[in-house]
Amino acid sequence: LNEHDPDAELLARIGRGEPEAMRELVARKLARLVALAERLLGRRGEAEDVAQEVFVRAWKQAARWQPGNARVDTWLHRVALNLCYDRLRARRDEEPYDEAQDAIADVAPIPEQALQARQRSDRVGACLARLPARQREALVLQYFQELSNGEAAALMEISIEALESLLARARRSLRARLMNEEIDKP
Amino acid sequence: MTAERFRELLAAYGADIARWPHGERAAARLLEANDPAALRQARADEAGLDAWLDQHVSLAPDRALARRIVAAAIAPPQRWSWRLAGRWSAGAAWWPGAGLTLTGLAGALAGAFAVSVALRQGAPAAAAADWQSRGTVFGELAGDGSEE
Repeated sequence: LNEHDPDAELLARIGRGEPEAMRELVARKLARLVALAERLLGRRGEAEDVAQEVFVRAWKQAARWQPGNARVDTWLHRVALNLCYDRLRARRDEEPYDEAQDAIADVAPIPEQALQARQRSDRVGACLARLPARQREALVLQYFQELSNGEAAALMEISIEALESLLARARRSLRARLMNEEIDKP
Repeated sequence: MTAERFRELLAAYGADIARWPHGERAAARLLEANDPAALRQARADEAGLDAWLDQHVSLAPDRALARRIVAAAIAPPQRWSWRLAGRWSAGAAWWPGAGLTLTGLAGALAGAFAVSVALRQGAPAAAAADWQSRGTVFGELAGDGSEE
């Protein structure tokens, strides 16, 4: 990998035990990792837990980081993905999730425009949640996280062709649900 | 680049050619320039879905979360979840119960001490001396509790 990694020096400083470098990494990546986990898990609280665990591992493992194998951002994504997989697997045995439990507590009225924006966001989120897991993962990595097709395919351990197939199926399902207002078949 | 491949890329990556694989962007733009009507219409259709996806918002984390995460990361290793801690401290449903339990335990100890002293006052001198040697107010009670 010859491409310059803008986060490599930061991770090297973390490997030398510099707390200030850790603060900088969190400032750079926290929103990105929370968004990744939130879109994969559909639960904000769990997404924040996942992000915390990613940074804890980054602090512990930074000294052993080998520059050149992968970009730091890609490695953080891999750790976050694995943590999300663990949680999704654990969900198979748990009680049905009450979405209201994790909803933002809002008692004050919000302006109509903001309310509509939230409703649209919630609707997209609900449609994302109904996608098969691998389709959702492909779309989140490629579209929302803006990873290259090569990075997304490598993270998912699939070929570019398989990634494109997953993306096309995900988008077809979302189009049917969001734009045609009909429930499509899996 | 064929029209078929153009549509495959459109279906997978969305309407923004800047998001398509780097090596195919230039050819895609050239193809569209040569066949503007059909392919631009196809891209416009796909842009509608992109517009929907762009409405999905993940709220920016607040500074307090960032501070907690940094603190958790650089702290000495101990498995700790701030969210779990928050639930315990915020819920605090177990604090009143713990307080009642401790109060009850203190009362039981005080009562046992008072009973023991009262019994001691009426006991023979030999037994009193024996109690001193045993060094505990519960020394006279049978171990199996049969005298209680």
